[in-house]
Amino acid sequence: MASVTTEGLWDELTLSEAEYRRAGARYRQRRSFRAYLFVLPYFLPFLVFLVIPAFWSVWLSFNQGGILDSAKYVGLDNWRAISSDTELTGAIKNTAVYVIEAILLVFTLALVLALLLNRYRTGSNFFKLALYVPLLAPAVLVGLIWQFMTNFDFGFINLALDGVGLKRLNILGNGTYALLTIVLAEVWRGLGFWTLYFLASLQNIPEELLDAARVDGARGLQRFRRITVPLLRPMLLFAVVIAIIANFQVFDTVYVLTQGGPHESTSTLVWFIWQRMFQFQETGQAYAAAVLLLVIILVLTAISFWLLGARRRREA
Amino acid sequence: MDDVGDSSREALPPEDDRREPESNAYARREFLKKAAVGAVSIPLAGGIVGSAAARPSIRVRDRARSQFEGVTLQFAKAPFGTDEKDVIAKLLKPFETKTGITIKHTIVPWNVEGAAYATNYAGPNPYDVSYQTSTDLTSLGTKGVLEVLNSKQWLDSPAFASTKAKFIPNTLAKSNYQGKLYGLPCIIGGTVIFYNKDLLAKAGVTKIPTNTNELVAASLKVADAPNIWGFQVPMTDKDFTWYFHYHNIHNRGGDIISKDGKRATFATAPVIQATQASVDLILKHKVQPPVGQYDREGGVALFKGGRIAFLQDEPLRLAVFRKEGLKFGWDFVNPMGAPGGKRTIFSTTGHWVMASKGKNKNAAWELVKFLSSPAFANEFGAHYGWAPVRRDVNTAKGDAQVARVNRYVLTGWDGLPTGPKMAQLTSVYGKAIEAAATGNKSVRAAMAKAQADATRILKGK
Repeated sequence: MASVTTEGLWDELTLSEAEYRRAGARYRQRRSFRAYLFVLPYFLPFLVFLVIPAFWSVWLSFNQGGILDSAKYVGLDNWRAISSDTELTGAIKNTAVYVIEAILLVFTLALVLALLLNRYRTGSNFFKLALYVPLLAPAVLVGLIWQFMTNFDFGFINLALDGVGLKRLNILGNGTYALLTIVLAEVWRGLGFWTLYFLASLQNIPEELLDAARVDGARGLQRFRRITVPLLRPMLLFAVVIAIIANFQVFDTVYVLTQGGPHESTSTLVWFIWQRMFQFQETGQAYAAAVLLLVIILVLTAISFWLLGARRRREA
Repeated sequence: MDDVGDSSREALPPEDDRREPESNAYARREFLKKAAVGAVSIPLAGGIVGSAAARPSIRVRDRARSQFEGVTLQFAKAPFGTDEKDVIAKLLKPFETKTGITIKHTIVPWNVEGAAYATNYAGPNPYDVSYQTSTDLTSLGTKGVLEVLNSKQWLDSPAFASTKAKFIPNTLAKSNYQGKLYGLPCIIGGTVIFYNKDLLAKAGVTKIPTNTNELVAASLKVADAPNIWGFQVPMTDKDFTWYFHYHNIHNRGGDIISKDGKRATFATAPVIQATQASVDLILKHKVQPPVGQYDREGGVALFKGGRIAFLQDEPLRLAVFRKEGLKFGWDFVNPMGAPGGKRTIFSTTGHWVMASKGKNKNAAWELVKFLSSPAFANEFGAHYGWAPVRRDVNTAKGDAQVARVNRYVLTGWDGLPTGPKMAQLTSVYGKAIEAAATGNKSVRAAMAKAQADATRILKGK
């Protein structure tokens, strides 16, 4: 077979090699330009309202003022102030406890409900709607509903405890119960979303795999452990990332239900930032804490993605 | 006729203009051109509309009734009651008629006032006139967003001298920070103790307590009955508990901050003793509901339901209790004194302030002067049971109960010196009370933490 040389091919073209390359580059540039143009409507607001403020916040964390008055550079003063503030360490701890409890609880419940809805299709639309409704309620309303739920005299929880002959609880007066109430309120609110998310993921699992396992004699729990869970894992990890980001920013329920009390047991990171920023006008400290929150979320997200990637690499 | 009807043709361009695109590339180019034009023109149009909307809403008519004819002032206040907007609108009507100034009143909820004012004052069109308490006054003032009022242009002008002389000197002194007055004092609040006469009579309490020891004794008698509590006062930082406990410290001759405002004094005997007395009502004597069981409004509801003998709250409840017609006999006294000590009333001072960036400062000063004058302050103070800060203002107007509140306040008021860190220090105190009253920390440990926190805060720039 005769060898094909590039020289021969270029002879058949009307453009020289250099001209062809330039034309190719121009074409690629045009394509890229158009692509960027399409991205622009998203990218501009992203830049103006997210990237620039994020860097601006980092800068303001080394300054005093900057909102009501002009920013004054103070070096590491704000960072020193928040690092010696015991409320911040308490807020980080409370937020971590809240995030772990909320994610574990909501994912467990959502997965169970999704499995049930996936198995029993009759009337499932009604339950999907019923589960989704709390998500439509504003967070403030959710807070108020749970304020009534936990009321000492006529709240549902205490009436139920009374009904079974147990002592009523001063729920919002106890640090552990108060934090748990915030967890339950957020779980109640997010359950519908995560149930539908897991249901959609379950419905993507090929039926043939489950049928094959059934034919091989695998029981329900074995099928769940060996097929459902491994195939759900990528979706689960992604869900964990999203849930970590969302839950680390818990604020509105805290604001309505407890405002960080009693004795700072429900003070979360965003509540700490809000208080420093708006109640005490300590803007520099608020920015420093906000940057810290950003770093925590970035690190946790990176770890989650690394775990997700490691799994994929192993599978590959 | 096409299926969208004849008339649809009128909406189409003439046949000549309906040119077929030469190619897909042409169509893409056209689309991109339009997209680019849209991308530039829409934000531009938004910017133009936005900047027009952001301009101050001043409208000056050709023929002026007064120099302020047509001026609109933005006025903001956290409300003393759900009816406050109507009360203020009614009282401001003569002012608006006389001056031609229109007042736009914004209600700023108490819980978010810090955020609301910070964002508003950061913008180009701040509230021309607003209401600030002594806790927030100086933190906003020192950031330059409030007009300094003790200047020749305003408070110290010769035209205002006779009115200035009518102010109770201590109210002006307590509102002054490093020689600057950022707001004109308008009211002194205070707290009182409402009591349920029927419950006390039933429990055999014949003498109304005068100090905390007597309060404990009377509350113990009343709280013997099922579902009845002896005493209730807000106990959480969320409900500004520090505000309701501060007088206990003053009664014992102490404070949370040194006189020069440079040193925190939480870990001192008066503060510890005062807080211990409050904590004992819950944890030792159990005559008061545990922290968190009832919030401030929950406590008021219990009192209205006849389940609390003594309720410490602000005099503004007078109007509500009268209107609702409680089903039992009730009255009030000034807050309990310290055994063997003083019997004072504490409250912050309310101020009318002007924005330093305001576009209509002269009109704003006119409004501040009116709000401070008897024409407004008499009825406004009477409605909410506040004591006046000027000798020519009479908020009682023949009302025996409000007159009594005024007497209590004007003879026993011990206010809070204003300062830029005061909101933080009072919150530190509130959290310490909360920690001790839940049994989470001993009073001594809670105050030691408060002392450390406050010292760090005061050290900050």
